[in-house]
Amino acid sequence: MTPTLPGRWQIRVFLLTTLGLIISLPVSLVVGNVVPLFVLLYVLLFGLAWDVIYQFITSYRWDRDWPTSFQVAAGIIEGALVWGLILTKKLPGIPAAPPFIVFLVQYGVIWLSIFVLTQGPLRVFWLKWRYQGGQWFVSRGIQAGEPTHQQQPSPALQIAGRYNHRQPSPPQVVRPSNPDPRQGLAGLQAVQPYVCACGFVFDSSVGKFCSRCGRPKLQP
Amino acid sequence: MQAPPQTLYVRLTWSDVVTGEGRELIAPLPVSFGRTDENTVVLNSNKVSRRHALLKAQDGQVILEDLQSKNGTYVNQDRITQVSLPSGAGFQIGPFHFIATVEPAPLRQASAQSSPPAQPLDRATAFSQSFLGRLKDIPPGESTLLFNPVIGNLTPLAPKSPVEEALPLGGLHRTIIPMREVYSSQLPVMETTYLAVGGGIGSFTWADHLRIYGVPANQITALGLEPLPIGRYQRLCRNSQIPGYERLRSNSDSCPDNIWGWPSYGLREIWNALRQGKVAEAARVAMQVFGEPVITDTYTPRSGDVFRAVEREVRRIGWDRIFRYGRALAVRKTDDGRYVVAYTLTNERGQSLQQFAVARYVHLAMGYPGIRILDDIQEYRERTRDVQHAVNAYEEHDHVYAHLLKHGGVVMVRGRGIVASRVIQRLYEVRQQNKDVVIMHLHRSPVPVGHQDGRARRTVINHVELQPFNWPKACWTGSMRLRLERADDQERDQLLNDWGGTTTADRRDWQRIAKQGLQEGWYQIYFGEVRRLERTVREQLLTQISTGKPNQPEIALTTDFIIDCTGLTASLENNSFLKDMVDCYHVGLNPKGLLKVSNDFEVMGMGNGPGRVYASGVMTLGGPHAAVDSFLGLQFAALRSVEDLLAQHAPGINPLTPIRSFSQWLRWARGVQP
Repeated sequence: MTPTLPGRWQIRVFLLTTLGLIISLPVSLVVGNVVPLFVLLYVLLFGLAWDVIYQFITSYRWDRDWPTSFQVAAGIIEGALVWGLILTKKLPGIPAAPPFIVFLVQYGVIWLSIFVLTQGPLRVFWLKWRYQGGQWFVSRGIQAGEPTHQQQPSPALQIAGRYNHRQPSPPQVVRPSNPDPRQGLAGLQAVQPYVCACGFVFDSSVGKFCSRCGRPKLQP
Repeated sequence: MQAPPQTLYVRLTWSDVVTGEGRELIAPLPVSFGRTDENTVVLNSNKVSRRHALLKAQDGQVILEDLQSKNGTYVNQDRITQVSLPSGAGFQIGPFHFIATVEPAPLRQASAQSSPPAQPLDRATAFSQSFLGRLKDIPPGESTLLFNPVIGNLTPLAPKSPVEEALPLGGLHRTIIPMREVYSSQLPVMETTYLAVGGGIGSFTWADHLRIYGVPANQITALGLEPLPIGRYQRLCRNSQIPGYERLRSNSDSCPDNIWGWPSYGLREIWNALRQGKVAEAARVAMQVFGEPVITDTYTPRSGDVFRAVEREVRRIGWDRIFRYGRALAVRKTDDGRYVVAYTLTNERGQSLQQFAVARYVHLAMGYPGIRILDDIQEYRERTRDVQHAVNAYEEHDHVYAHLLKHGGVVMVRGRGIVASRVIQRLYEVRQQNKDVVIMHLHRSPVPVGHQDGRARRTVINHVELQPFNWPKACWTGSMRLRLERADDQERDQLLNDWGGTTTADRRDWQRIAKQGLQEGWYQIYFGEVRRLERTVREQLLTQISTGKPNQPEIALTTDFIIDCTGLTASLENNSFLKDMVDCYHVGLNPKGLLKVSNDFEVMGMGNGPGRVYASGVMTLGGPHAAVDSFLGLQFAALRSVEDLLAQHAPGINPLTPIRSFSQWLRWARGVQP
């Protein structure tokens, strides 16, 4: 899975607020204060900014990918920054640095579980997730940009290549089908033309749908 | 200054960056190149300036002038401002490589036309204009070997055009076929809900998704020529020297046997190595998966492992109940909102029997219609009937390696893609046992700079561009996939031109082989356009090449064999079924001349009331997805079309909620049918 920026953000927010919280709460109970919860909050907040930097780095890579080794390096750098800021004692909510081992276990376990989950198991639950660059939610606007399903693209303009030599066929009136050859020409009947909303004219006795645009035929 | 006595004409040849189809233009000078429509040759790429370069006549010579373009014009290795271009010389503009040859003035005015007067054109018309009159595609079929429509194998001197077979019901001339005609035709009619035409990996992944989404096997039918969906792919792999123990160019989590892509092939390989007690091997694979592509080469799965895994999934989803032998001839809409596909099958007496398959939802994944073979090699083979010495890498050609092992010899490799790299590796393996093997690698033109996109540039080593897979990785699941999906036709064409092109994998062993060979002299790289291929009296092949260099305009290389590694052909013209559909329904084509599909891979213009036609695979190249012919690309197309069917409440398809998805995955893991 090659993440997009919204994908990175969604993974971070979703996994830290669920899995991250599940891991941080027991740690918080063990040490008896809320510092681990604040650590989690800062990892989340700084991470949102880190993700912008990561995505910028990928733009220098031809494949626009994010190798596993980069993911590991990013985890170490992110952790080091948060720990460094904790040591300054200037982070609101963290008046004194917790023992390093507590931070290491909390951060390490959270990071490792996210790493493992994003490497694959998440896809088992959300099939589309990986194709969307790690996004669960894709804005509707993108999908709304699609052309109408059955609209026939106008052949004259949109066709390129060798087919652009061909003239679009004029609207045609289809003769009623004549499965029995013995009837011969005498079997031909007058045709009731049907004009579809798309402008296509065809024999009203044939089919329930317009053969050009696929609209259902309206009963007179 | 005196006016030239006669207008100089040039013949420009180049290939489509994405499909590889040849293009040719014969035009009087001057010829201008650029991104905008007023140019003679309109090049749709971000790396081409609006007015980029000019080819003009001066004192009887052809002069190539760079019009102060941003990214430059290259001749051989050098960025030029203005040079005299010898006939047959190549030059590069953005991602496009041209060869220019001076031509005598054409007799017919039709093939050449002076620049039309400037007139306001809308973009789409202007785009079409660039392909009208002034440009011509090299006719397909000239340089392709098609898969035999009856048995699916390649035949070395196959007829050039696809086999035309009379269609039932008096030719299926109408666009809407009344069902009563189908029933009264006296031909067998098979009715189903979901019909997959092709029967290869594309059809299989679609059926796999349908099955996992809840459709029973008896509602799905796949028409094809091989009982195993990976049959043709497997054969092409074997022919191009990828036996079971060699690795494919595919990602660890592109698993055609598993729609979730987990566990990946890398994990499975680690697990299997551990189970066999091979800890060092497991650690090596783990390190490779972890370090790719920065610290180590990119991990790729063994072909044999992939094939075995697919065979397991084939059995699991009940493919034997889904697959029907048959060659699809044509598709038509019916008057009850369905589709009828006419197909034939050949009985044991060689008679071809026509039948009908009727379905509400049709999926088209027919793959590459054939392999591309270089014009001069095709011409040589037809002239001499010698298909032993000049071969295509996708044909069976083990005799070449067997001969070289015994007697040594000189082999010419043509083409610069992944197949060429693998063939050179294979020749190197032969050379380990017989030192008398010499490889001559012939390229049409050098590659001075790799493709560029934004801040990134593709690496070039030994005039071959390097990339782990056949498209940049983010084209599958990352930002590039989204960018392409959101773009319109013209932007897609431009992005694909900028991202596409022939590449090979960045494998250290291959680079070591090339470096060693170049140093020791048994691997040589040549550049030039082949003029003619001849057979010498000593049963060798003589390739006459024009180099485009003034000091040595022509060279001739004598070799024992030629291996053509140019690749597969992606021309819609070579697929008679799709061509018939396009002609009958005036189905729109994308700028690459292939099927125009929606972002859900629905074939535009083929809707029939509730009925839908979807497509996947190479015939949708140029649309919303770049890597359409890859395992993961086929799975993506299948997922999108099945999700679209779900939105239309197609029968049997249920939402794959996280819980259902997990329970289906458990079924996969246990090998239980969906």
